[in-house]
Amino acid sequence: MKLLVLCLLIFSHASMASDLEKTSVERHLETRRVTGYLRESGTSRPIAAAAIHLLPIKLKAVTNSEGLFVFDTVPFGNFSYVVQLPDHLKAEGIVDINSNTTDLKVYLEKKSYSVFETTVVGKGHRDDSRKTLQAQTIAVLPGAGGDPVKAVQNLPGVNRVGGFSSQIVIQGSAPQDTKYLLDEHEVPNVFHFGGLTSVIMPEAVGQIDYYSAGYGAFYGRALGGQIGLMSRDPERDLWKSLLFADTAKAGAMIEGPVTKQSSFLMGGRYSYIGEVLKSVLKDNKEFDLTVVPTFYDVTSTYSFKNDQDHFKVLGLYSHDELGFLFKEPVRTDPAIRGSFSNQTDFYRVIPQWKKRISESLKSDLSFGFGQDWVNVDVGEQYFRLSSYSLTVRGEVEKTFEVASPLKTWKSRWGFDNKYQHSKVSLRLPPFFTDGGVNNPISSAETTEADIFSKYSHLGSYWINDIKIQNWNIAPELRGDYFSQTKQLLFSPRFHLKYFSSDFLHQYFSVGRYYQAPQPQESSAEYGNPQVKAPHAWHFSLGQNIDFRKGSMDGVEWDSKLFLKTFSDLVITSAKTIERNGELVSEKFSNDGRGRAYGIENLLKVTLNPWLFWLSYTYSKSTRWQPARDELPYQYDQTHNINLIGSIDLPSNWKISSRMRYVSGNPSTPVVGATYDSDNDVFVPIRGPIYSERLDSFFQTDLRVDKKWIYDTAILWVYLDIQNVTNKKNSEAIRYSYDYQKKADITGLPVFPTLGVRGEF
Amino acid sequence: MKSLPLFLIVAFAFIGCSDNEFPRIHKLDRLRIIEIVTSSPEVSPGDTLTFTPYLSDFNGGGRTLTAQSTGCMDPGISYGSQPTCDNSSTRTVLLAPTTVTTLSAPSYTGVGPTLTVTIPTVALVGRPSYVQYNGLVYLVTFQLTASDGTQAQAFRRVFVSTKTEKNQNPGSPSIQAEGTTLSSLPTAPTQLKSVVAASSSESFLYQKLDGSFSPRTEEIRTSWYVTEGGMEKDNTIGAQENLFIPPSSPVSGRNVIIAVTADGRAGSSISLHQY
Repeated sequence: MKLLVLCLLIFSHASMASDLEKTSVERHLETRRVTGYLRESGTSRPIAAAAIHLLPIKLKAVTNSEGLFVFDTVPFGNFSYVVQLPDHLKAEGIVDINSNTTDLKVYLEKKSYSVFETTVVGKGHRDDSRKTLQAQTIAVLPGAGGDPVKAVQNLPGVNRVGGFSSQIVIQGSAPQDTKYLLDEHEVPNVFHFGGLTSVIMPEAVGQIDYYSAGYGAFYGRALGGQIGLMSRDPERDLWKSLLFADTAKAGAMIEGPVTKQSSFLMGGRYSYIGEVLKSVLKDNKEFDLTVVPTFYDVTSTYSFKNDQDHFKVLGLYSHDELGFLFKEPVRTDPAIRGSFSNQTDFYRVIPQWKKRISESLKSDLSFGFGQDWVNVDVGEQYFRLSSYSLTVRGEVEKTFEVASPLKTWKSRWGFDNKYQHSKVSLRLPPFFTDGGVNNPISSAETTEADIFSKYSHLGSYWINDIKIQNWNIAPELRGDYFSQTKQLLFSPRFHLKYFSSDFLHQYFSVGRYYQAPQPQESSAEYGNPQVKAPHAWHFSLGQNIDFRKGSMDGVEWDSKLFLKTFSDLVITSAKTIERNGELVSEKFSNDGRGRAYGIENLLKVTLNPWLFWLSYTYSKSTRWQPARDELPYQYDQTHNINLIGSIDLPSNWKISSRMRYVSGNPSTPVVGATYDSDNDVFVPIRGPIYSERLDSFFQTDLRVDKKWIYDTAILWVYLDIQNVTNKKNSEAIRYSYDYQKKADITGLPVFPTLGVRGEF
Repeated sequence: MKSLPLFLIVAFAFIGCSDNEFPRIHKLDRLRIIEIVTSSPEVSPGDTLTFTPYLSDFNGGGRTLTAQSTGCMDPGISYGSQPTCDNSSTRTVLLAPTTVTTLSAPSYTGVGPTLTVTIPTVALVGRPSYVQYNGLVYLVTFQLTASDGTQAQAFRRVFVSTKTEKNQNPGSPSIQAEGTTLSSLPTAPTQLKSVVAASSSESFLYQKLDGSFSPRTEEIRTSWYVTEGGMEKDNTIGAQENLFIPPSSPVSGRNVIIAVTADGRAGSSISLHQY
């Protein structure tokens, strides 16, 4: 009996224990499929190929390209999740897995949101004449105010232009020798009023390319070089918006996916700096601002992309307006009186289609259509331009399989055409300047004309890129036809590159370049229809060394010698000549020559979190004219040094600074003046042209950035102070009415810009 | 863009319009050629005309001045040639170096020697029709040299054209002080005004390069000059007022107020008041 009772007890206990044990096991065996996503804090960008761990159960999931991850079977309970990636702060937290558990959302904060991206030299179609600034670099460069084109001024070989100039001067060439491109299509201007900021929203720009001596045959029609703004594709993963405001302007942008393969971006900016100026100048006795300086621009991009095709349409509209009233004629030139107004508008629509036909065959086709309007009124003088412009580019690229010792042979054929139809109405005197000293407007005879012009600039090119062992050989040929001068011109170009290793290469380029004369120079009414296209030879020899040899920190150095010779340059002429049986003023001739040479260096030192960037250019630029010796050119700047330093600090602080030193521009003494009794002005008598120099330019800029990172938003505040030491740099010289006294026109005083922006 | 040069010039003019530390053009404080008035601002080839220079050597103390003058067809001033006849094939000497005897104490301000010129008959031969109609510039240069070597030089244009209705000088300006003709040196700050006959502002046709015509009307500008005191503005347009600040201690005979009216087409007239 005892045994029976014992057996029953044991059985009973075992049965109870079994029940208890079963409940526990069942609970542990109850699991849930957990999904989630991993995104970057602030930007909400998906983070792909990242491992997320659940501890202590040691489960691991890896995110896909959209940042999604899945844990198929997670038991109920409290667990820790951990994500750790390079360049990101560690993310960890507790997650309670139960029957109500929903998706897991994990945000990972980057260690730094102001990464000072590197300058890429020779990427894509490798061209050592090109230097590229990426968008992230542009945004935080001190002194550039986040502007992509102004950021180019930090690169070696770019001459400093001062005052109100809104042009880029490349390696001692003339301002008009630089061509501006937007998605590889020419635009009339890249800067708003007075060079304050570029015409395109910086956030829509992916990169800016700067092409200098020896640039390839893909581009042409510019003796100096090219500045190319490349738009970026809109965000494909999620909708994002941006709002910003600073002391001069405000704007907004929105972008996001339309379908899985297409996306859209639209943004615009409006400047209210004129309202500030108007309040400052409201008591001015000499003039009224009748129309405050205003600019706005609108940028839009649509992109469709699949494995074979990339279709994109870029739209840009830019508007500038300014007006004021002189209450009395300007003292030094009474012809400048009454009202002044200036309105400039243009738009471009640029559809682009890139097709990958096969692994070895690609094609591009793009158009740039637009209109330009310029209206300038100064009292009774005026200039009114309305023009239609169409640019067309097309290219086929074929990569050939070739036998050893050749590695590859890539060949590209393309065309690059521009058609323009313009109407100009003007009542203007010619503006004569020599040696940087202007004659008064009053002293020249006014011309009045209505000019209709049509011209076609047709270009085609053949580019070869042949790799033989460590050598890269690129013979190129470009042909251009200018209907303006009725010239068909060929420009051979050649590039040679030798790779000593993956981190060291030398390069050499030589090429011939042509450029159509400026429309006013070749105009039958205003200029000389017989002027021809000026031309240049470019030579460059350089080397690029990456001492980092694959590591993140270290030194990169790019150094280049350049030489440009210019011929048939268009200069003003006071001669009277016989043309078509009549005695007429020649006005312009091809009698100018010139050359520019120098050495430019770009040294980058990365010592995380520090970064230094030193660009130094030594150059000489001279010009010849009939009956004159070789003279320095207006932008002959012997030494041009830019030193940038930055440090990324904890909590997303960043401090950066730029110091610039540039030799003073040549200047011309005025040794006397002749009174023009018709116009009550004095006409200057110039001494030896460009025999003196302005004082050297020195400026220090400082920038402080602070970002606050939230899961789905970033708040960014910055203070950008130009000329922080308030150095009074001489930009030009002004004179008393009879040129017996003079004083410097100084550049920007200390100029702070405070800005705030939010990204959502 | 194409507007850039104009914009830059206007921008720099704007910067320069507050040059308060510089001497003002209206102040006759050194050797100056104030104006060269021509008898006819627009003539035909072969016409003869005269020029009358107005001079000032206010602080010269009566030093000896030597004048000389030349004439020639425009060497191309609009396109950068210096306004001289030195290298011109059409150069004519209008006045060999001559001592100026017409300026007297105490202001040493007044007219200089009169010049006479006959325009070459071939001045317009071979020129395009629009140039013949609008006129080609004939240049007269005038140079003053003081005994200490100080120099002043000036030039005056006249237009040589085939136009039948030639431009005329604007009427002589009447200087009005607070609405009445100026008859004595104001002793307190006074608004002055240059009044010319309404007919002084002529309408004319400008022939464009394509042969069509554009109507234009002259705008009369007055340039002001004083030896003592000061003016608020150097130039006024039409009948715009200009504030005259008299000298604190005027010396009799040394106070000169001059208004020169110009039509922008080589026509000018002058009114000179001396107190």
